[in-house]
Parts: sequence; structure tokens; C-alpha cells
Amino acid sequence: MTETRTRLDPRIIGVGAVSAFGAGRAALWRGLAEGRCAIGPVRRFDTAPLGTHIAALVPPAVLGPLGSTAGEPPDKEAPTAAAVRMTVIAAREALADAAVPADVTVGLVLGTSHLEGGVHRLARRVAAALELTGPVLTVSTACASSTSALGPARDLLRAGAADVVLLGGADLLTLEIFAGFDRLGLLCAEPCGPFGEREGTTLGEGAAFVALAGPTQAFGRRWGTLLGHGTANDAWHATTPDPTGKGLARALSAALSDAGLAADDVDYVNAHGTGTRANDASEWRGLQRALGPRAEAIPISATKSILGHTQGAAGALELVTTLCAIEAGTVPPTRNHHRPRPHAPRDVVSGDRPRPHPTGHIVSCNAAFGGVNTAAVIAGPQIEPPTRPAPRRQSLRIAGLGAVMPGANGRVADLDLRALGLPARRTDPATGFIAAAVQRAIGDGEIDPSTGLFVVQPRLSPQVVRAFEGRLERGLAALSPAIFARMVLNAGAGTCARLFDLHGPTSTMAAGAAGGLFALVHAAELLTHDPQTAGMLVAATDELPEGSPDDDDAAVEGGAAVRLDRHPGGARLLAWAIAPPGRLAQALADVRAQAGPAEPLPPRRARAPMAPLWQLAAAAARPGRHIIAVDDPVGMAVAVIIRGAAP
Amino acid sequence: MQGYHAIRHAVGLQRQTDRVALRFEGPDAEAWLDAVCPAELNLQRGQIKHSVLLHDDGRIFADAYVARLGRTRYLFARGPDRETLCAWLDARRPADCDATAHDEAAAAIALHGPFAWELASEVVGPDILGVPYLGIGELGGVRCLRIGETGEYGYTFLVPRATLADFEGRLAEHGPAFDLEAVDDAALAQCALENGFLDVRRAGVTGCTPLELQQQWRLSRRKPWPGADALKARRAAGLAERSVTLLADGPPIADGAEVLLDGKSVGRVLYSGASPALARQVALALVERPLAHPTVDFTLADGRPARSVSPPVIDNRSIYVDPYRHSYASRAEVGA
Amino acid sequence: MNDALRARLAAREALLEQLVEVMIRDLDLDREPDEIDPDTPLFATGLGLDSVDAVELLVMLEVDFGVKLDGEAEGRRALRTVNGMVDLILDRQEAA
Repeated sequence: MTETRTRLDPRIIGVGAVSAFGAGRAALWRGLAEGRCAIGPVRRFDTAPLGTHIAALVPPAVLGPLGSTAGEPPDKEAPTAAAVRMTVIAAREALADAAVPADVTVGLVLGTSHLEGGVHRLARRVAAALELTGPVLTVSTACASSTSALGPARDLLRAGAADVVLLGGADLLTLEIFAGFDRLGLLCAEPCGPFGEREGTTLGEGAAFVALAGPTQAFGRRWGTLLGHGTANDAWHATTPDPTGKGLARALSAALSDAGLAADDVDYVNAHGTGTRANDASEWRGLQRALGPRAEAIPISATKSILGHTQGAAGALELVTTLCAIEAGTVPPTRNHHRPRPHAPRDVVSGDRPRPHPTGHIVSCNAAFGGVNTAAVIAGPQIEPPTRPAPRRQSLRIAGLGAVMPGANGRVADLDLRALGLPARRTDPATGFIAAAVQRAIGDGEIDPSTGLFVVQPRLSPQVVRAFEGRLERGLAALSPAIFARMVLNAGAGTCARLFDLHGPTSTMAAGAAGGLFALVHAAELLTHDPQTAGMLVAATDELPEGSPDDDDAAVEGGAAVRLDRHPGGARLLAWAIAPPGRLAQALADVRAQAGPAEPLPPRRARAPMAPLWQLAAAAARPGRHIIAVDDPVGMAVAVIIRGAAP
Repeated sequence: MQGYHAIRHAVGLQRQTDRVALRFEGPDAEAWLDAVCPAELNLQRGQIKHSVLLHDDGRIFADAYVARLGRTRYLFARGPDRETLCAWLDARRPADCDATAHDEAAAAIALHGPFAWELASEVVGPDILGVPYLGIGELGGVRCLRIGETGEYGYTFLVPRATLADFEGRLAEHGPAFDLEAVDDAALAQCALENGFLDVRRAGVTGCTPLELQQQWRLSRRKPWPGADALKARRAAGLAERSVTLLADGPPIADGAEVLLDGKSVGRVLYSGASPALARQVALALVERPLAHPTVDFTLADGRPARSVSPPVIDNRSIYVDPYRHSYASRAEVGA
Repeated sequence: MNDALRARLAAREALLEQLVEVMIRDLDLDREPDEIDPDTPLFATGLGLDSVDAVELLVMLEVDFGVKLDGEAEGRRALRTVNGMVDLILDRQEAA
């Protein structure tokens, strides 16, 4: 650990996409270059009860059967099957583009809000279809999912858990999602025109991937390099972005400082640019805050005006779109931008065609419900990425622990949020579990507002899903916008950010047994690389559905939270390692190489992501060194060594 | 009345002296406030809640805002004077309460009006737009509370005495571009009346409880508070009267004026005021419970008609003003 | 009180009762129906609703009461108190 190592900045060695222009990045680029718009009337489902009737949908030929044929009941599996199909096409294209040899370990980090069918089933099915042997993870921060996913993807490469990581996003547009946005009043009747007179967004769907690898891999193309990644939470509101743009500015500033660049190095911004009044105004304020006068001097585009808002896929699809445009010496256009709105960027790339523009460094931003802001800084293919020393790993203090424990039947008996001083209205059990655990982990101490929170939660709160379905039974028009706003996995993280003033890095991952420990590793890596963040909280939760069997002793609900910082003393996180699923021995060898011999604690049967954190909390109170390790056959193997201290 | 039109169309400036401002420190600061406020507090960071303080017999004693900034809690109370309020609070302090109350030394300056947000962002910076309604935050050493009391955008600034001259200088510098005008208590009281916001300083309110004044939203049923038992008994006995807002033409209406229906007395006016915006009289009255609804044509003792309406009785300009799109300089573009 | 007024106020009471019940159900309000006075403000102060609840109220008006609002300003004007919503629903019923 003492020799100077080179910091790994992932190279983008292959790209692939399925968009409303069809399968393949060639179709995507052709549509863009020919000045077409992929938004059109929705025919897949009946939008008659709603106020909007357009979207950017992937051609039926690519997706396969989806809509129910007249007279037949809808196939509940069809949406997942179609999502798998388009995701596999895009992922396969990226792998082929990168010419990845058969014997390398490929991991998958998927950003999606498609969570039907249990713990990250979409990612698992894609990994199985592609016969991937590396770690598999789902990141779900609603419309910022695939940009959020860049952080974990990079950590897998840095940990040596994969040689190549397929990083991407995928989301299929379902009637429920369409109706939810419609009921929230966020949709534009015409194709959206971000930053312009038309207010509201247009939904879309698709899948996009980039293949990432360390600089030493001998294969692949040269699309660019991920130099910086940053996230931040508004800690302001569940669905409306902070109008001051502070959250986006923090995410972008973090990404720039991670990249070692200044505002004047940025040549182009691919904005989130949804077209809604609140988003666009706040985003532009954020860009101005982070980039200063440079924001006025560079072109900014919003391709949702062409491809629609593809939610979890948006970040990856916009990145691929940008890379394709840059390969042609251009930047993508923003359609339907005729007259700017007040408080709009000065140079929106308006018109139908890509604009010639020499681009060195790209910024790509995405934001989402739950106060999420994400930004990536990418060096284009013309730029020789710098060689930088890797920061030295230091042990971290386990500054606080919190748990909400289940009873003998695996369930949490009455958690009284009011008695804890937490708001109870519209707080689902899963959110209550993490809020109570985080509150305990923070304790009486004040918390630095740069503190961040990573959450792991395998599924949406069953209570929220039940409430959502209950309303749907009364008809599509009765869909509840308030409940829909909580049908994003990161709603709980957003609530906690607001409750505890956590303005720092933010992410939510859908994972099972290994998720809690992975989030801890992700937080430790962040604290190792980002001196601006004073501390991190990691929380894991699961909420059992009503009626799930009580005799399944692996089924538990509850919450766990761990607070990490760089202060001396206390119980400490000494070492951490990740390996592909089924290769726990590799992770154990790795942590022992870092911190010396130690014996793993006996593994728990629980599948829930908080179980290993509960184990960690117990071990942290016992002096001596302890290994906590998990091997999730459909996720990854993770091991950490902590040194306990008597409380 | 001074500054009414500034509140309704531009920005009005108020040097707030009508409230007792107390700062509570210590681990039990909120527990103390929670024991005396009927509203469920459970204050989250940066949150303000609206409460009321009651005599033990349930009558309204003070209008109150409580706020949480960092570890500190604040109480802003209107109605009683400082000594009365402090004695009342001390008498109801929970046993073993580890908290202290202090006079807030900062000057309180408030801006009210459809463009208050814009002038505020000139004076303390654009981040003021990130302070949500009923939120409190600190910007450049000034504590900013967003509290609407007029139906228009409203901000109260707690300015440390040391920087007061500087703050007032900035107001004087930017104010003219917003036709900033000083407003008096009468103008603010009139705006509150037009929006159905209770004014506890009016003599007519003295004998009333939150039940007939439709203030139950300020009462929690999860905890005890001074006056809770009295109100419980009153609720059980059934409510004889409830408040309504009346509109009438003609000269000012006297406090206590009788309200009639079909020639029979059915209630009385608690207080009233002339609305410059409507050029009509607005009154808050208590009438027999079955009649306490909008759209009833009552008469006053002097024979003129008075119709009950749903407050707010005016169309506040702020409804149409959007900080994302508008500015005072281009106010002609704001739709009606 | 004449019969016409009595009938009108009874209809109003009935609508209020229905509206409050639907609001408690759809807005997840932790209140008993008799705690919600008709002049209670809806947003921030009063019931403490926020912008997400505002869209929820629009959906509720449309689905449960057949009232569709034209544009944002009309919504903000009508959705200030419980009584304001009752006025709106009654106005629309009369116009129909």
C-alpha cells in the first residue's frame, strides 16, 4: 500500500444504444444527423384518459410483443421481457464495439427505475443473457440512475473486481409511468423544448451502455475517459429541484475537482434539460454557480427534445449521444427551442442538426426526484488523459452506528416516528427504518452539511406499491401523483437528506445481501478520493410485504446505518475489497493483504442488505480485528476488516 | 392605513415591533415549547410552524410561530407583552426542563408583497429563493424567515444590530426600484383580514376559542396543552357559533354589530375593516353554527346586506407572480 | 331560515363532509373529519400541504368531483381553503 499507485480513470472503450430511433448507435446518430425527431403519438397504450399523448418510443420491432392483443389479458411478464431485450441489445453492442475478449471478467452496473420482479431482476437477467462473470449491481436514483451508476462502476474497476464494466441505463416506458408524469402535470402537450417557451417534458425510453476499462487493457476503442464524477442532494423537496441550483452546482463542482479541472476547461455541457419550468431554471442557476462566466461562453444542449426523457436511461443515452456527436466533430442539437425562457442559458444549441464544435472536455448532468444531482466530466477522444497518483487509502473512523432491528418473526414492531421527532405523514416503513437508523448513527452530534448518504434497498416499499395499485384500481386518471413520486427507490434517501441536512454525495442501490457492504466500500472510496466531503452515511433497509411467510428465517426487515469520517480514534474501517460473485476467497485475500490476518465472522443466512451492517455494528463494539464478508451469488463478494473499540 | 397598495402590488416594508421574539437554547428547548403550544411541533431543520397559545379555559392568548434553526428554537408571539408572556411560559415550564429562553436581540424587518422575493434577493442574495414557505435559513449572517401574513410573499429578516445599518443601506439602495414603501400595522391587519388570517389583537377575539374561530388546525390531539381540557369539554357540548367572513357596502362596521337573518339576530361582528382593493367592508363575524357557511345573505343591524364568503376575499397578486418568469421591472406581463 | 336556504346549506354541509373525507383518504391526513374547519388554509400553514399535494388535489377534484381546472392560476385561487374548493365544485355543478 505504500508505493505510489496510478489513479484509475476509466476509459470508454465501447458504446451501444437502443433509442426511439431504433437499435444501435448508428441508428441513433443517423436520426440526429438527419435532423429528425423521435417523438410521436403513443400507440402502445391508451392515453385517452390523460392529458398528453406523445412520447419517444422504441420501435415495436426492437422490443418484441408488448401491448396486449384485443381480448387477451395483458402479459405481466411482457414489460420485463421487452426491457431485457432492448438492454441486452445495447449492452451487446457496447461489448462488441470494445472487442472484449472472451476470457476477461466483465461486470455490469445498471441504472434503472425498472424494479419489477424483485431484487434487480433486470440487471440479473441481462448479466445472465450475456454470460457475465463479474459483479452485478443496480443503481436506482430515478431519472439520474445511469449517471449515478458511474461512481460504483468506477469503484468496481478500481477494486480489481472486473476488467471491464458495462455501465448503462435502461428504462421502458409503461403506462403507469406515463400516467404518473401526466398526473404530476410535468408533461408537455407538444414535443418538449428545453430552456425555451414550451414548458413540460416529453417521456421516452431506451437503453444505452458504455464499456469502461482501466488504461492498461489492450482492446477497445477510444471514445473518451471518465475523469470526474460528482453527486449531491438538494435536501430540499421530494420532487421539485432547489431553485437556487446549489445541489447541481455542488455535484458539478465535485465532478470538476475529481477530474482535476477548472470551469474554463469545460467545452460543452449536455444538460439534463427536461423542459419543465422548475428543472430548467434550477439547472441553469446551478451551471452558472459552478461554471461562472464559462457557463455563458460554451454551448449547452438538451437532447430530450429529440429522444424524450428516458428516465433511468437518460444519463447513459445522453452520454452515448454526445460521444457520437463528438466523433463527428459536432455537439447535439436542442429541438423546439425557438424563443428562450427567462433565465435560460445564453448559448443553447438550437435547431435540428448537430452543430460543428471542437469539444475537449464534456460535462453531462442529470437530476432526479429525491433531490438527486449528478454530473460527469469526460475527456473526449482528442484528449490524452492525465496520469495522476492514486490517493493513499487511510483507515476511516466508524463514527456512528444505528439499527432498527426486527423481532423474532423478522418484522419490526411499531416504530414510532413521532416519538423520534421524525415526520410520520407519508413516511413508508422502509423510509422510516432508514430515517431512524440514520438518526441513531448521527446521534446528538451536529452533522457537517457536506456529509452524504448512500442507501441500499432491494425493492420499493411494499406499502407504497400497494397504495399505488389501490389507486390505479379506481382508474388511470385516479393515479396518485403523491404516491407516484414515492415510487422511486431513492425517495427514502431524499427524505433522509432533507431531515438530516445531508447535502453531500447521494445514491441509492438496489441490491441484496452484498449491497450494504458494497455501499460501505463505495463510501470509503469516496472519502478516500474526495477531500471536500467531511463524512458519509451508509444505510440499508428492506421492508417485507404483508403476508410473506414468517417461517422463512432469512426474510427480515429493518434498517442499519453506518457513519464514516476521517477523524482519528474510535472503531475503524481498516480495509475493503470487492470480487466477482462466488470468489469471496479473492476478496478475503485482498483485505488480509491490506490489513493483516483476521478471521471472518460466521456468515448470516439473511438475504437482506442490512444484515452484514448489523453484524458490523456488533463487531465494532468488540476490541480486535474482525472481517465482515458476504458473497451474493447474484451480486458480488465483498469483504471489509474493521477494528473494534469498546464503546 | 399606510402602504396597503405596496403590499398588494409591489413591496411593503415593516419594522416588526408587534411581536415578542424569544430564543430557546438547550437540549429541552423544543420540549418546553411543545408543552405550551397546542400545535404538534415535531420541528424539522429549518422549519417554522404556526401555533397559538391558549388560556387554561381555552380562550386565545397569543398567535405564535415557532421555528427551528440548527439547535436553536424560536418563539415569535403576538398578543401579550413580553413580561406577561415570559411569566406565562415560566409557569408552564416542564419539570427538569434543560432549556433557557432569551430575548432575541436582532432587529426584525419584514418585506411583504408580490415582489418581496425579488427585493429580498437583491438585499440578501438570490439564495433566498431556496427558503421554502414556513422555512427559516441563514444567509450572510441574517436569519430569514418566510412567513406570509398578507396573502402575498412575505419575508422576515432577523438582522444583528451590528449590521443593521448596512442592511438598511441595502434596502434603501434597492428599494426605490420596487417602489418600496413603509407599511403600518393597520395595512397589515387589513391584508390579514382579507385573507382570513386571524388577528388576535382585535378586542372582539378576546373571549373566543380556536373552535369557533376555525383554528383547529393549530391543535394537536396527541398531547396535552394548556386549555386542552376546556376545549375538549366545549367540543363535547357542541359548538353554538362559528366564524364567517362577511362582505358589505357602506360605512365602516362597528365591532360587535349585530348580524341578522330574516330580521332575527343570529350573530355579531368580531371586527372589520375597509378593503381598499374591493372598496367594500370586510368583517369577521360569529354566527349560529348551522348558518356559518359562505353564500348566505345576512343583514346588519343598520339594514344593509352582508353576504358571507370564503376567505381569501381578494385575488392576491402573488398567485400570479412566478419568480422563475417574472420581475417587478416587467410586472405588466404578469397575467390576471 | 327559509326552506330554500336550509336545503342549500344542507347540500353544502353534505359536500363539505364528502370533500373532507376524500381529502383525509387521498392526502393521508392525520386528522379526524371534525377537526378540519371549512375555512382552514390548505398549504404550508393550516393543513400543511405542499406542491405534491396540490397536484393530488387537482386529480381528486377531477376524479371524485368531475371538476377540471383551467390553468395554474385558477387552481391556486380555488385551492386556498376547503371552503374555496366547495365553492368551486358548487359553481361548476350549477354551471353544468
